[in-house]
Amino acid sequence: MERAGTTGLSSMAGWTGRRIIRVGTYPLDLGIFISKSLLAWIRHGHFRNHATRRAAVGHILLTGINPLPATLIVALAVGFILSLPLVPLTATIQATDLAPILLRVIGLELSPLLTAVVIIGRAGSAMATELSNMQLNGETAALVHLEIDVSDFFVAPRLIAGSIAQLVLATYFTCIALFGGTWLATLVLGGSAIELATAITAAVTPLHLSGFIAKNLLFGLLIAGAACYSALQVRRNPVDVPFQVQRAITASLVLVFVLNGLMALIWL
Amino acid sequence: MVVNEKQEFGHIRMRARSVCPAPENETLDLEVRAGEIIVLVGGPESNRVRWLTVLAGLRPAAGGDVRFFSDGSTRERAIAYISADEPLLSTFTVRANVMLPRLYHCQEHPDTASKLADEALDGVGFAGDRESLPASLDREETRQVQLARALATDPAMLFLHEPFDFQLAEHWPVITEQLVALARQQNRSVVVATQNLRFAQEHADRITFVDSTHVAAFDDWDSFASAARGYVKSTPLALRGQVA
Repeated sequence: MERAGTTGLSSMAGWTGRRIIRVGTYPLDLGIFISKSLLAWIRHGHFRNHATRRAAVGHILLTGINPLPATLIVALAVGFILSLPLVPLTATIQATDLAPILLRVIGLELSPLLTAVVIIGRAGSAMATELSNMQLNGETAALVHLEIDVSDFFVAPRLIAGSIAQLVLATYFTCIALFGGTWLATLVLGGSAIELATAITAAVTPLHLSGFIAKNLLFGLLIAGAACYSALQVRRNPVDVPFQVQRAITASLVLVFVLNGLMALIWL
Repeated sequence: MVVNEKQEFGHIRMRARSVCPAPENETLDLEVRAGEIIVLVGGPESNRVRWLTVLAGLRPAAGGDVRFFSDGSTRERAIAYISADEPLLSTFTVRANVMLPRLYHCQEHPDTASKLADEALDGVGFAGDRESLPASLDREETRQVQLARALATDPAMLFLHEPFDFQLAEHWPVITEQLVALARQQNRSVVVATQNLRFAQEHADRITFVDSTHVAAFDDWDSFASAARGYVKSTPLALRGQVA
């Protein structure tokens, strides 16, 4: 029922305003959620706690191992597709000039992004669904009565697993894409794969490495954090589960791309 | 189960009102000692649950205080709350569910926690597959695992919400035997919210009656049965004619 004096236009404006506020404050809410979960984990003994340690190791294996085949295929394809038009240029430009371009485009930009997309699709959705169902069934509330901190036992291990898995998989993706993809391209078009591989390896600097590590750790935290944050919003309504899972996936994708863009600006 | 010194101090002292605004006759002054069985009776169920969770320290009282142990220390893990509404973790096996509190709180090695979990499951009479998931358990097995999980940290006090489920009627003698053994042999304090007046009559050391307008503690069954007549008219107990 509308309040007296409320018109359709003002209610539309109100709805738009509320949506903008909710979307705008989401990164801040997510950041606070992630920080509080990690602090809870540190407070309760971090890796000394057997229960959270087992949970973290289990999730690292699940998040890092399951997407390996998909990552391999995508990495080879991406490396091949991007190397194909660039490899013939080695006839006119030096491999040492081409290597930084390949390193920057494939290694520092595309690899973290596409690895994140694979992890969001495989592990992010699985995390969100599992935790949503536990929240729906009241299992997380039961743990509170056992004085088990949900942030410490459920969220923090997933955050750690997501970060480590993203970093490891992105490294794997980068190596496969850069070396495997260019090797395939030189097989098709001719040229020296070894010369290009050596030039690429020599082009890596500590700045590249630190940026790569930071970007991937952040991506992993965002993906796992968005999955857990959305899942814990589920109330006792089954319709909430698919809604929150879809929200987790969408939020992860948007945040990862936006963060990638911001970091590319910083790189300039 | 190992009997340890904290069980000597297993009592609560409470002088409190319920969480809802209430007249003065909703003030409860209760002291529970180690090895005692206290039964909360009356209706509706939401009232019993509310009082049980306040006594267990899971929700704050509107007034007064709840203190655990004689030195006035705050609630620690020596208290366990068990209810059919507190489900097991669906993605953990039976053994992993029972191990979890010890792994998390006591920081034991997983092998030790696993061994103690098996002992706890043996103690409650669980005969099912310990590597199965909770979805494959029947109601009685689920109740047993919930009890084993609660007992995993060796609590001095147990708060149970309606262990006498009507769908488990054929298991009531076993459940009664377990609760009595927990109190008398293991010297734990057991506080049970239930509609099973026979259990209250035969085993309760003290009875607390709660409904939407009254709360009162009675020292034994006889004092409850004679005093309850005034309340009986407005409670479901009257319909069952259980009070003699």
